[in-house]
Amino acid sequence: MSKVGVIDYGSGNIFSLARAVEKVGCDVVLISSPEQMKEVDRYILPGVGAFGSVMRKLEDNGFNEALISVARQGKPLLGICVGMQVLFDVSHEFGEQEGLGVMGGEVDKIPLLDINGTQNRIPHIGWAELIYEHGDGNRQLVGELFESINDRASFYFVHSFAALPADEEISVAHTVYGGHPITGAVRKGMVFGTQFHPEKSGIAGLQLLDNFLRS
Amino acid sequence: MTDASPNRSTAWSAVKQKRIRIIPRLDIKGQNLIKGVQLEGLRVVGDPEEFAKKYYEEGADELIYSDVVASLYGRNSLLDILAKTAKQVFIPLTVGGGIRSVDDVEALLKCGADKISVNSAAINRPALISEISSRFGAQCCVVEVQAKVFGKGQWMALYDNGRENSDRDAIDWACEAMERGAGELLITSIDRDGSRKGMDLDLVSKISSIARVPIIASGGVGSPSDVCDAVDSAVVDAVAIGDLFHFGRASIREVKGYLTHHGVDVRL
Repeated sequence: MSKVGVIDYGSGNIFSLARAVEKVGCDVVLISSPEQMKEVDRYILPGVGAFGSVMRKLEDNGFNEALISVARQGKPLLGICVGMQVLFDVSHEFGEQEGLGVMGGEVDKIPLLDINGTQNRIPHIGWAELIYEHGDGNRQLVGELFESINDRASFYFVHSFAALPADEEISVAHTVYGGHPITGAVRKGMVFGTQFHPEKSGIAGLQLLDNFLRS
Repeated sequence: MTDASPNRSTAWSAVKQKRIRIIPRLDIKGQNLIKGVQLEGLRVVGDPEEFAKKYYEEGADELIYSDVVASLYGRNSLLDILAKTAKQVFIPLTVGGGIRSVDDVEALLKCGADKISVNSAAINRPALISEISSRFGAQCCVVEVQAKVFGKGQWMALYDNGRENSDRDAIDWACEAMERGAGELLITSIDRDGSRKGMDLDLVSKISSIARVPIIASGGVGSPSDVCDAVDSAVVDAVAIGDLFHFGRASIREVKGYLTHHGVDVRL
């Protein structure tokens, strides 16, 4: 099977992600410089922690332009958690922070109150089901990403901020926390993003990774 | 109580009912999975990696590894166990025991941990919580509060795996931990740990009333109905279970089946 490049810029739980990718039969190439990106034609961008510090590390390692270019060329790219958030234009975490701008929209705090006015516990930590945006038609948009995955499958979320896509056409699925919709998965062309962690979402998550690696 | 509270299904009806995570808690000594009573009288249960894999396959939502002698000896023997586990277990792994610095945290994260939990070192030097939280994110920083009853409605925070009293009020300590950046609280009742007598419901509900972050209740689950009781008495996000699973007295599927039947939302 093919190889996938995992962008290794000093953030994220790369160990678990690499083991999950290997589990579905794909070789992992750790990409620690933009020059190395030529070695593969499919990429995963992990990310944990603060949006701003992830962006700074990407910039320091020169990955910004390389990732934007890969997205333009239509090579498959999957951003996970903060790795998905940085695909957007801007985040409001610790002041305004510019993102890669591959996808239109913003990243902002999960609402502090639930829809009953009770305090939401934040971070949002736990397994949640997804609601697919356009029913069956959406399955086309989402393409192969959710193929062979049960509609009621749950995925593991752990985050305090969430993406707000400017264009609903890129929103693939959301979940609900405290009664509020929370962006779960996005897609624009061959650029995919999941707020949840597929590498930590058991069988369903492994299936999603497998689907991406075959996309 | 064995029946679902009639209020449970309606209380969260507007908001989707809170889903509970079921988390096997694996206490580790050296290379062995062990289980004690009130964190003492340790008994060897088996190979932690085998148990971890079994729990993953049975539908555990997360795993907690805790090195119970790490604080005593100032080391953490979990790196090896953790790395092997992360090769075959694809759910979140929380790891605690003997963590004293951001470097310790980094070493664990590099071996596959998703979250770390701190107790002793944070009690001795509370700034450790904010150091971890600002470097790796609050979502990574679990603070374990080991609470022991010292009178009605009062608990003290213990450390060194329940051996030492910090002379801090456990509830005050939980509040301080959140202010310093804890992203989750693991509340362990020392009185109930390994007792199979049910959870300390007063403790769980007291913590629930002040929590702004998710809480994991731990200590005392002896039967599936004990989990229902905790869910009925407080808003808990997760329940950690050791004894009941380790000695095969109930499987994760059985506990989740029981909870579903009694109106508690769990991942099936």
